Amino acid sequence: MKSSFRSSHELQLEADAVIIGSGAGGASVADVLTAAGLSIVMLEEGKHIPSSSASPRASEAFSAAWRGGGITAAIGRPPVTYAEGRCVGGGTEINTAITQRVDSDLIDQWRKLNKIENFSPDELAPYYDRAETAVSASLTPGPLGRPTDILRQGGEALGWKVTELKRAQRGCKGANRCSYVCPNGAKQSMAVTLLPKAVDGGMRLLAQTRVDNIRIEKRRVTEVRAQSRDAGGQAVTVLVKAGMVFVCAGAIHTPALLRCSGPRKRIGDTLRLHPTVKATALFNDPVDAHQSRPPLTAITEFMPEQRIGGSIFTPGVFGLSLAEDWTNRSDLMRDWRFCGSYYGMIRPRGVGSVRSLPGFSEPLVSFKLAPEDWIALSQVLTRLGQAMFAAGARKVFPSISGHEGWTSPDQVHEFWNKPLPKRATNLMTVHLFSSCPPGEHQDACAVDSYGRVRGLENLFVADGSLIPEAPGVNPQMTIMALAFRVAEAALHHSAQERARSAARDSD
Amino acid sequence: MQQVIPVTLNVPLVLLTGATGWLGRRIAAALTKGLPEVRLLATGGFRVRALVLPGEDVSQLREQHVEIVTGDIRDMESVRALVAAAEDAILIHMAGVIHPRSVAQFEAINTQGTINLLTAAQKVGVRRAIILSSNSAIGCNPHPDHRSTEESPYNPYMGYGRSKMLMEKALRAEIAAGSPTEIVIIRAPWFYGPNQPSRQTLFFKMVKDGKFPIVGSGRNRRSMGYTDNLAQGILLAAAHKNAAGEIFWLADETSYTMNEIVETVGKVLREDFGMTVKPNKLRLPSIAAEVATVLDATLQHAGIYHQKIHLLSEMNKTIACDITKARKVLGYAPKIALREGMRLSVDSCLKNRQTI
Repeated sequence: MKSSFRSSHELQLEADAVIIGSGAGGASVADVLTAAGLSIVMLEEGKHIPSSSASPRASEAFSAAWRGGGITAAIGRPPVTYAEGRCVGGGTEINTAITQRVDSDLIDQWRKLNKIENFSPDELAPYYDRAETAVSASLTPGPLGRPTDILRQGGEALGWKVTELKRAQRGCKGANRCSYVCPNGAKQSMAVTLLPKAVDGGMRLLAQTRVDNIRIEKRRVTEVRAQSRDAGGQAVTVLVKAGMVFVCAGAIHTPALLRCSGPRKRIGDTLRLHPTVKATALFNDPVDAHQSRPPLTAITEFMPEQRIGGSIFTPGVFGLSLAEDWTNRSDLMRDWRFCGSYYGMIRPRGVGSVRSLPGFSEPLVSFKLAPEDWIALSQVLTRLGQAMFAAGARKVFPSISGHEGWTSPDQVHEFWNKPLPKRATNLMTVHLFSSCPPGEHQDACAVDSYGRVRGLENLFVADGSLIPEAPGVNPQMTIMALAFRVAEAALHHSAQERARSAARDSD
Repeated sequence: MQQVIPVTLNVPLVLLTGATGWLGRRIAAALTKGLPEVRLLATGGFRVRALVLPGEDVSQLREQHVEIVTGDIRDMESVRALVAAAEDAILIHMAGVIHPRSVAQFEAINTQGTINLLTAAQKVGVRRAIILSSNSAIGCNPHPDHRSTEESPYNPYMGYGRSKMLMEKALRAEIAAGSPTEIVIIRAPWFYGPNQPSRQTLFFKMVKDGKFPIVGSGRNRRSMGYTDNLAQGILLAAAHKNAAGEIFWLADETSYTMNEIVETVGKVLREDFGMTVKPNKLRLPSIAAEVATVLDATLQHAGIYHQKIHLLSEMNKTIACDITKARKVLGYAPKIALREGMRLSVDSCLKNRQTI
């Protein structure tokens, strides 16, 4: 790796490969490429937050590790609020680290729909194995606490399938601060697993470095241009020349960056997410969710289309969730030790888009729920209410502004045959994907079966954008599996082969 | 080696309408001699009786020992003759009109005809009725990457779609009211397969001459159903305990883009049949389909149906469905995909001495 300062405001680097983004996708690519002995530069927009300095305060933690301080909204009616990580380690620093694989039938369906090569459940299994090993996917030992029992008890009382969830963890102490960056380093996020390994393997990681543009000349990426700051806080332009470029900036920023750098066909046209509706359940006895693990079971009876689970709980996060309807819900704050936060999420039929806007650093994101999604949301909210009462809840408050809450199990059927109120229902998501679907079906796919952007020989996508459609499970394992696969294929296919493929694409 | 799909029907009698159509013939064959090509065979020891319009060619049905009742579903007397002493029978209702002489025929045949049949079937104690509906009741997808499910709302496309929607609504009301005859609604998209009507042969000819109008980008998806795939799904719906009162989409395993359909047909004609296929040059802007849509709607409003204008209006639309429910509940597993299905269709056209 060569580097030189031409002037004090410009840093020029050269490497075999540059990776944009340090989340589950970027770190997995780095793992494969450093193992093969390549010189790597990784560029990450966010900061590095060591677990020793992780703040216990919601406001500080969110502004440090989350994009936009925690919440952004996709345009639509209603808007779906979404959250993304922006720090070294990306989303893996702020998620619950649940490790699930995608349903095999869905994988088969995606392979056929988009003609994706070597994409059977069996062919993906070794990549999933590698992802699970990398993060020590395991059942959390010890007592999991009341929040987990509530889901299990509710689901089992209704005769529904309930599944224990494995997580990326080693010695979880139950701080219930997974979304603030784990203070104990127990969560096996990228910042404690693959990233240090890659740095030990020679990778150069530049944090607080935001990529503006990828320069393309004649079917080849020649240079990546980014903005950073030096130790004195002075703005520095970083220019990296590399043989291969991997864009791993997540389902929103990957398509936005590609679109403003040139490629556009089918890029950012198919954003999917998991629309999620929440409810707060109030119990007679203390739940003390803040002293427990986050709920580590899920009601999986209705998977992959619907899943019911529980959320991270700290007084701060709980207060934020009540803020959606503070006039009617602020009273619950008094009883916070008796409350639990649970959710129902669906695999949507609706589709969204990502567009970059000249002059703005954040892209325009929109998402439109399909009519089927409203039916599914009504169903999953009803089921969530049933489960909470079956677990002994005294009151259940769906996240619908102005809703008075349910006080008995008969009331939860209110929306079974009636759509949720579109304006008042608060929908959110922490799962975003599918904005650059892979496959050989040129009418449908932004990138080829192995993540190579069409018409270009050395530009790859390796993150959640590649998951062909909403997976119905937490996406981290799938993102890692697909990123390992992209990196291996990039090493395996010679530059000549890729050049030929790129030439064929543009015919 | 692929597995045989045995469908066991323990019923005294199977009643068919539309048995002389291109899907109906395959159902009749699967019930009587089986479809060895797709390893589909209905077993269980039953008789088959079909209601056939006067003047239709029934020689094939006779060879298969199907009892023939001549008549029309618009006429109660013929309907009663079909269901005479059909207690515990299964009815597979495939008759319908898609390209009518006048718009009024849509509802007279598709809606009222179905109600006639069901009423008569309920009266004599028919066990189950499997009724063919269409994607047109649901209309076009709201987004090119959307696929309709059984939960999708009605958004009927033109007169045909409306007649099928009204039919489905009447059937769903019967299901809700606890119809003594179990009802299964099957929605099928654009069919293809051997023994196709000549309008589909025209489609092959247009592709061969490079004159098939691709409207817009051609990236819009279309679900298609190879007739033997549909036959499999229909028989599974007839046999499966959990199908009662349900709606199922049936189609090929995956949807295809319009470009893919035209390219595949071209490839089949060129590679499998050695024909010279001209490169497809006929690309129309999306506006052409929009104009056709308006024209079609206006004509249909005035009671006039024009096939070519109607078909052109659909060209840039996404009409795609998701068959997950049929796979999960019925065990539906379509065997034939576009390339092979089109090869068999072209082969059949040539054998029937149609010129492409």
